[in-house]
Amino acid sequence: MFRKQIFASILAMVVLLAGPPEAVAQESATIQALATVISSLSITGNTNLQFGTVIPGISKAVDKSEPGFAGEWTVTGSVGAELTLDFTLPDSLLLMGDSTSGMPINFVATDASFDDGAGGGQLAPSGVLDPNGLGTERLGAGGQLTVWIGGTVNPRISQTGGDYAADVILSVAYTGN
Amino acid sequence: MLRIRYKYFLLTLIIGLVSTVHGGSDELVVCRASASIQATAHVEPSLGLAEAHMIESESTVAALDIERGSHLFWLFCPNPSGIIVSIESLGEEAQLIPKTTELQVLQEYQYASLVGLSRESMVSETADGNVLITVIYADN
Repeated sequence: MFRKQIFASILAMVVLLAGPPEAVAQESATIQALATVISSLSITGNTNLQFGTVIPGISKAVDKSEPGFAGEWTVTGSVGAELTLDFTLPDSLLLMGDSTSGMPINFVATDASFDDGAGGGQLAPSGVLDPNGLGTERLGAGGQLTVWIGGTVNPRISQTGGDYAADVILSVAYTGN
Repeated sequence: MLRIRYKYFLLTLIIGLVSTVHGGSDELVVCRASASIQATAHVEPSLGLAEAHMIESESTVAALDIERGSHLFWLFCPNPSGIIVSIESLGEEAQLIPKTTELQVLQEYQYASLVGLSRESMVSETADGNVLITVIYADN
């Protein structure tokens, strides 16, 4: 008996709170919050920057368009994503086995290039990059970007003979655009 | 019993929420990456002083092969009028520059072996009448 009374009271309250039908006319619509998580960014060094044999006292340059001699990286990620390209360049190559003996190397503003798939590859790339500064480019339709770099070594007249090497690093990062 | 079921319910709810927030995947998106290549070069050993070459005729001079990488080399010529030094034929990178006008200049010779070798040269006459041509690297 008591339960019936409680139930009746609750029902009455619900009806009262609900109000007249014309006062509660409401409509609703739904939109979606959408987001796409971009693909991971990866980069691979394909080719070393190879100057070959140089003669003491005579500078030697390798152009960015020389296949097999210019340095090359491939960047892979989300199609059309914008990214920064940041080179870490050496100022000298070090003699293997004697890290105290260095051979100067320099890079000028036109020593790097890139192709996002819209250009003609290494010989006719999409554009030029300044390896001494931070660059911003977009990945191409295939989600790839290839980067090349050249440079000039300047052996001194008294340069010690032997094999020299140094790391050239390219770092890439999404900008979010 | 009811309390245990309630705990299981809460645990399942929390796991569900966590996996929903993380998209149900453990894969992380890498937004920054770097890779290095190497810049490499091989430097020819310096000789300091290269071989001396005796020049006896024009043909000898034309065929003369000076080893690249030499800092210094001498050309001896018994007959000063027969020696040849051509600025143009040596290319822009290496110029064998005569320091005396008495030497005959033959433009047609091609000194491919000298290209890239020298930036500066000196010509002088030795005591025995030979002409000494000294070619040295310009100091960078």
